[in-house]
Amino acid sequence: MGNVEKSLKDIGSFTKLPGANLFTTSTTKLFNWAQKSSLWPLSFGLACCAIEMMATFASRYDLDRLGMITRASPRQSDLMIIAGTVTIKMAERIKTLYDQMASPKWVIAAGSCAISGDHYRHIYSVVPGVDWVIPVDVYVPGCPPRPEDFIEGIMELQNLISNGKISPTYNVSTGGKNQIDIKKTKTKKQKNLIENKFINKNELLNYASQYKNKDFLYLKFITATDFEEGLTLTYVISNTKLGEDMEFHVNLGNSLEIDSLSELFVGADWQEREIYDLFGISFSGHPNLKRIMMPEDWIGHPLKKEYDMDTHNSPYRPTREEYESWKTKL
Amino acid sequence: MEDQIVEKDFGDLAINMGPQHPATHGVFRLKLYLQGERINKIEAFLGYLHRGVEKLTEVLDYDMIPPVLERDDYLSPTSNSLGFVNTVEKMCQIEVPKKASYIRVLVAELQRISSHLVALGTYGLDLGGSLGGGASLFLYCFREREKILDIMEELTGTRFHTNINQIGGVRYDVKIDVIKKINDLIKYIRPILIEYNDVISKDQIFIKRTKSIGVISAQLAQEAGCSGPVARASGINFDIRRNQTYECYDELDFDIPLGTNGDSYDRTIVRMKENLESLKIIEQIINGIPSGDLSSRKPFKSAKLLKPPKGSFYSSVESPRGELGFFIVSDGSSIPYRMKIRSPSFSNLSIIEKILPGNFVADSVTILGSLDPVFGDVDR
Repeated sequence: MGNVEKSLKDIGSFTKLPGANLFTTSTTKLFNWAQKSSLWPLSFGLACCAIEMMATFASRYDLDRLGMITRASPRQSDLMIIAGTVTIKMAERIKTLYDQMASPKWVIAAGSCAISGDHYRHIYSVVPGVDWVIPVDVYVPGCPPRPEDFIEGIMELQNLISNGKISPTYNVSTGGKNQIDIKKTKTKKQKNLIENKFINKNELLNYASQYKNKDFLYLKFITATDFEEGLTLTYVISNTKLGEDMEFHVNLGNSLEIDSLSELFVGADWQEREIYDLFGISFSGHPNLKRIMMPEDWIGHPLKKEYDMDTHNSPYRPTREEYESWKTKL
Repeated sequence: MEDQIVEKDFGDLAINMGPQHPATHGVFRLKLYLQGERINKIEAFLGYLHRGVEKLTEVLDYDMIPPVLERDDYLSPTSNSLGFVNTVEKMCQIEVPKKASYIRVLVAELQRISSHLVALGTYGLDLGGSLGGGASLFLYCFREREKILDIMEELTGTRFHTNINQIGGVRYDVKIDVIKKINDLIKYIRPILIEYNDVISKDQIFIKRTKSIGVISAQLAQEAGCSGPVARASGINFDIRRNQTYECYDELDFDIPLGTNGDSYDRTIVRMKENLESLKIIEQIINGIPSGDLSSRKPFKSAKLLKPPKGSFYSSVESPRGELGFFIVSDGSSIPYRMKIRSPSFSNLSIIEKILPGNFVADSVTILGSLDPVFGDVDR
């Protein structure tokens, strides 16, 4: 008896007839059997768990044994493994991908981020659990789950499919969009803590190009810090030949505008966009000053001190009360 | 002959690549504006994995931060926590026992190999397609990676988020049987790494797909802030392990492989050669782990006890992707006032808007894969 016949025995019975076998079962059982035996997952990874998912698909654990072949298109796949943290920006795409999959379709939420948001759950940009976006059939805990856990989760899903016991959990947040106001936090701004070299705002371009001529070509990073005196920008450039770093700071005071370094250093382009996004400093002369991390219609600048970490700015992100009551219900 | 191929003009066409795309190494979206098969202009969209780590660190005590940071660059988690604890130790002037320093470097170098193996394996998928010849390279690389992860597991109990670094030292000791296993691993993996290096450097398909594709000049690489294998492939002799040394790297003997052309081929070859250098470092370490304490700090009851002095501080380490730095502003309390993560992937990737235009669509995947970005590290 072959493997297929062996697994068919679980769902029906064989009757011996002269010259042939007669197999009797219900159509529901037969379809369920066919569906569970060839789950084709969408090759779609988000974060760390995706690396473990890849390891599960690769040599040692070999998911092909379970009839699984990854498909790059959602239209060809019937299983979606959410492996990693779901952000608000990604949530819309996940919903689109899910809608593009043909029914019947299943979802496995792998890893604590996809289940509940884990330690990122109170962050402004993170969806605390993918079940706020799409219905989830099986949860695989772990940070990240081991390949064995992945396999167990998939086998659990196969069991559910063959027993016809699929009942996905799904929740829709009612808040989110209503709470667009940015809450004021109690975090106190400190007075300036940086002691190193400060330069005047107007000198910046001259100063940077002066050092660039001295072979300080390598732009390490640009960042900002929110102090009582106003936002302070930090620039670090380096001379790779001498291994010397040059760190200097600019205090912006009340203004929110400064010259862009993007013409001197190519890398300043994205660094300044990040600061514009997270701190709201605009750089005059920047070729493409748009938000880079947050969605373009986002309100507020998250890394400012008055911005509350736990802000609810999207329909996918439930309020804290909703989140607590939903997770205790589970 | 080649010059006579006429590209039919289909007018301008904009196509989207990602955020769900098997060859973008994560959640990243490229909008390619095409003229026929050539890329005219690109727009890059990121932030699909922005988890607000920098904001999160503003509510966590210093001792609680390393495990969170390990989720950042998830192919080499130890480098993340190593960079952070290094910075805090320099701020608080905490001495690290020699033994702890050796164990840190041991784990970091093991993870460098596993990270470069993932980079090579997924690069195979990028070039050959997931059902074509590229899949075999992927499967072989992951087979080798599992062996390294086994050692991690023996050493720390987890497969890759080892969480071995803590401020002042390390959490776990290296036992004698683990050293034996690492010795076996070196014997097993060295000929394999050499073989992979030979295979890809002689394979005509690989060479044709990668040679002189995505060339980054040394000047451009520096101005964009590229570091690690991306910068070294362009001939910049800059490695934090050597130029601004940390831990016990100054006692170790290793070379820094350099490329000449700065193309996708060089970047891959530099990674392969770095693997062999890492093996050299690991060999030196397991032969000379000194005895002593694992941590210079006494066991503490509360994470609130560690309070670095007021001021700002920056220091960096060499992660498999390049310079990973931490800029910390302390207000004298037990939580950082502001922490900036200088991530190598973000700076390396920022060059893509400059080097993609002029290439074919198929090369966009080649170039992106050769930069080896990790999106947890790009978006933070």
